Amino acid sequence: MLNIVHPGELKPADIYRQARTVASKTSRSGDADWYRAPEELTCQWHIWFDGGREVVSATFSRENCRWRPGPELQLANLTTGERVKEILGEFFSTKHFDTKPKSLGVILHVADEFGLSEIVDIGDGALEGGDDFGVLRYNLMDEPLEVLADRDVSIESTSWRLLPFWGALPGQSRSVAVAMSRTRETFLKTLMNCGEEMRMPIRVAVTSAPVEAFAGLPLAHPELAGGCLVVMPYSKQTAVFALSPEGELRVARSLGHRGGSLTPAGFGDILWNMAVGAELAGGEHAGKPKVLLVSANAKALETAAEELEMFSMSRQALECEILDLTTLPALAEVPGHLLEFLSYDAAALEKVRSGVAQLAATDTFSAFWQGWAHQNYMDIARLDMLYPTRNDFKLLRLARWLLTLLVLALLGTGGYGTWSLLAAMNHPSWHLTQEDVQQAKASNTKLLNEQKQIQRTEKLMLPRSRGWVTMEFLLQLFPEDSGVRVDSYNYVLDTARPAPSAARGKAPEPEFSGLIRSWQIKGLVKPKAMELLSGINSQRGVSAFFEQLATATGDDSYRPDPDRQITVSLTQGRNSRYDPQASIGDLARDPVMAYPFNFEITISQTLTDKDVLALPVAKPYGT
Amino acid sequence: MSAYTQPIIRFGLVTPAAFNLLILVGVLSAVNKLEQVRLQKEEIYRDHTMRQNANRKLESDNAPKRPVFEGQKKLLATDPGQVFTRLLDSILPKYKEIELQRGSLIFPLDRGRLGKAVKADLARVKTSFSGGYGPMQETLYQVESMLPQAVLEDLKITRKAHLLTQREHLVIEVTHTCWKAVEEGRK
Repeated sequence: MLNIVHPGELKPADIYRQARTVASKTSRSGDADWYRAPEELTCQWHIWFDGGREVVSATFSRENCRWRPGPELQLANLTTGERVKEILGEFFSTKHFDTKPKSLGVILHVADEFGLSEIVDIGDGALEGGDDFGVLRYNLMDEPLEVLADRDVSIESTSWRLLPFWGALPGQSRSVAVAMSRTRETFLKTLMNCGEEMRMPIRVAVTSAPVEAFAGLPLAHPELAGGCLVVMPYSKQTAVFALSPEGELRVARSLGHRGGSLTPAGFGDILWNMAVGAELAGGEHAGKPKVLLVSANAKALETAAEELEMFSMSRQALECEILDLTTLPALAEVPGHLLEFLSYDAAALEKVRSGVAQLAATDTFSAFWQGWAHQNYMDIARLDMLYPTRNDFKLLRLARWLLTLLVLALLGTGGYGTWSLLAAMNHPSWHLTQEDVQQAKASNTKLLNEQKQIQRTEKLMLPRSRGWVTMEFLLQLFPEDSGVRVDSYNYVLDTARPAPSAARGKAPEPEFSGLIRSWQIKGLVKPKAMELLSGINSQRGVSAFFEQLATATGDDSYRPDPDRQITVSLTQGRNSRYDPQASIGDLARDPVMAYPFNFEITISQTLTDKDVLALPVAKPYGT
Repeated sequence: MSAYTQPIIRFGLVTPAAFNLLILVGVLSAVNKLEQVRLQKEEIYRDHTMRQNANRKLESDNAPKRPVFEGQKKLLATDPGQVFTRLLDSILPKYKEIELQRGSLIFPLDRGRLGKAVKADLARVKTSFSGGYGPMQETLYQVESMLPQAVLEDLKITRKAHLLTQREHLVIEVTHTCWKAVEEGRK
């Protein structure tokens, strides 16, 4: 069994630990019945006793509103708490309920005492409405000594609950405290502990049987309108309630029995005085006061009736009415024909509410049926404080879900991290060292440098101007016996860009330099070669010649290209030394005399810096 | 609110949530850091792989050219003046004086027209010859075949008559620019 310590005695961390223990070791977190009042549970066990030898035990199923006899119980068991487990075991058969109960509400209807204590006089008009009764009710439960007129009482052995007089006369007490000794709590606590062990909610209540019986009066006597004294004789005392003509409770009294008598001493006088005090007899209210005797105890009824009859004949006339509960059809099925039990039957109450019972419409009985009649004299709330509330369990569940969510997120993230790490470690990139990278970089730089050197050297070494081809140029231009005599032949190769120093600082240095080649030929020409000169003195002619030369020598620098510009400049004139009459001897001495014309031709070829034969500006390699 | 409510909120909700969140933030931070490292490493690896592929391609490009390049380097490392002189000395004796005769052989110190435009090292060789057109062309063919680094900068051919015999011959002046290059550490 769980050892529950009051949370007020624990440190916060221990309180939290205890809450978790309760949540895991009991069914409290998942079963709402642990937090319901016993009369709200489906399966109820009602125990009634009035101090006599008989203990009435009944079970009530709210599901089908059915009363059955309960397990047998001895009066001694209520004090000692013996046989509790054995009795509880009986509930798991179908003898008392149709199905095995999942929870049990145990209500102890105490009829052997009905002590009334005065409430401290707060002042006229201080307690007027229902809300004030509500405040007073809870004050009486929490701080009874502040509310009771007699403060010389023990709160350890007695508990009090408020009984309001909704129909009290002005100047009279508007409420009274019903006192109940706490001697039977041991039995109920034992029941609760057994429930804890069995993980079955057992909710308990101790109620005042006379108040409950009075609350059930409209169910037993629907025709009753009010203006009477309701007398309820029990074995050890008689409870008397004065009903105003409007049907409201005006005053209540508890009359103790002496020497084993079933009626109190001076019963008739007391009732007469009470009727007068409640303005139900005497003065303006002439006539016989009405007295209604209500009980399921035939002997008690008979004794009381006899005594009142004698009083009526000898002293003051009383109009007595007897209500023998054993004869009522409504209580035929109720074990012990107890009126106290009837107010727990919601169907019966509803029937009365919608019926003709005049009392049902009064404030008194409306309030009774709303809970005032079923006030629990055992402070269950104080016991419940030992345990976490339903909201606490919700909070615990929320915390667990949140924690689970966070742990899952943590695991997910951790898992993803681990997977990422493993994936990264299995990737070749993880094993790549800085040395490998540097080595590859160095190798790349070296190879790129080598490639650049190779390209530059290749480019530099290209045949772009050769002497033997330049001489072949002349031979191809003027073949032998073409009628041309060349006196001078000049060839110049120059670059087509300014010197690097001139362009420095203005623009990025070009990679290549274009070239300009020029051929200048001076000489003499016979008329038959004039056509040859004319042919070369045109773009088409000079291009055809360059193409022919390139093919003949295999030198691609002469190959015509749209980007390669070729220009020709030809000047012709008469040869002053030409002698058409010159003899062969003269011509042998001076061949110049055989040529009538002189000429000068200049051919230029420009190769741009984009040309394949353009000169690389940078060094091929080295410093 | 019962006596249990606050301890449950404190120990069941706030503390574990804060603790878990702290760890979660730490783990997330570590995962994020790991992800960054992984991405960085993968990027380096990608670059490395691309570089290795490029190296393989460069190697496959350069390898067949390397023997030619080595030969070119040897050529560019030689002194063109000496080679030029040696070649002429070996070629010219084949011709009679009347066919081809070397006049002068000088090595101008200035960089010439081509040298002004480029940064490459060079040496210029200026020679003059007298003789016939054919021997001259043949000689140039042989010299230039042996010296591919030589570029003809200018050529001047003029017709001259012998003072005594009045026989005509050609005077040929040739200037070559020869590229030079020396690898680092070999100077």
